[in-house]
Amino acid sequence: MKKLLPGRLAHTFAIVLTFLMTLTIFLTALSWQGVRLLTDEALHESVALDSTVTDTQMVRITNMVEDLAAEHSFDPATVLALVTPDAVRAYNVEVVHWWMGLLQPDPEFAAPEWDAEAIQDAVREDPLFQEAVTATLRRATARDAVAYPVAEAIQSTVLPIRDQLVTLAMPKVVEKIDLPRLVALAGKAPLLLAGVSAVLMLLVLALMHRRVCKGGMYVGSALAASGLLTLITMGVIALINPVGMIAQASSLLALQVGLLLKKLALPLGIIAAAELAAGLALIGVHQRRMTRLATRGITA
Amino acid sequence: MMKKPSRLHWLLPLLFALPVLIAGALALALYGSELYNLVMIALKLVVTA
Repeated sequence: MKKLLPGRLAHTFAIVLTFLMTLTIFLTALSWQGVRLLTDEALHESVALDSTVTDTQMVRITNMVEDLAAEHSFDPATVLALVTPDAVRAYNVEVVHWWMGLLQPDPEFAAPEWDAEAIQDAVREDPLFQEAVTATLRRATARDAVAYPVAEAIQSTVLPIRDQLVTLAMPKVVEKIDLPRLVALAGKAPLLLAGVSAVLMLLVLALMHRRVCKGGMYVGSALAASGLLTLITMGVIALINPVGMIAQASSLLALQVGLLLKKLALPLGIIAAAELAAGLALIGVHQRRMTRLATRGITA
Repeated sequence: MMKKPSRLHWLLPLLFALPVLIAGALALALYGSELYNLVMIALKLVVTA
């Protein structure tokens, strides 16, 4: 008895579904990393606390304090005793928490500030500073010429963006857009897309149930195509070099963004490679099965 | 008699990826430089040195 095989119509539908599956699998991987970027505070913290970032921040802050010390005659160690690497790391964590909190309900719009008062008090007690500045001017000079500039420098080193823009713009944004709800919806996107991919996969296998290896070939093609698209997208982003673009405005921000992109790229690259390998394996299964059938001389 | 499967089947992933690649390349070609300029302006406005 002649075995009924999938006809042209079944193959046409399978091709359309495979193309859709390619898109949904590709978007699943991308959206998963996108959601991590929006919601994974631990990811952002790991970037902020990376030793290259904190070391660069400390060098910049130390140089700034030493310049101020030369200008206003105080011992830089007085200020640096308060601006320790651990304190800067703790401040980094605070800023990350604030930044991620902007997408949560009831966000705090003003960025956390460094404690300028402690610096002001320490500088006022510095013997060199007391020799150089008269008693009546000590408070104002310690505050306006030393403490506030140091606090602002620390803030702009840890958060190299104009936070006043965030403070001004965010209330207006929050009025018009329900950001927490959007973020929550976006969080469901990878799962939703994975579900759609699974349904499309089952549909293709159902269409090709008479020759299952053909179904495997289509599913494999979608997986491998998605892996290819992901790898090409990562390659294009690397060529565009967003880190280089940002470095033109701020080397510190470029350092942070570069680290963030690397941390996002690694799992994405692994997923893409796995998709490509699995897809090619399924195509290989099809090729072997069909070659065996042809060799055995089984009629269609 | 059934024929041996074509080796072109190995290129099927490329076939399915091609429309997306072409769309992406077209989008970059049409809007790439405008997007680049917008991003650079945004960076200059938002980022401190």
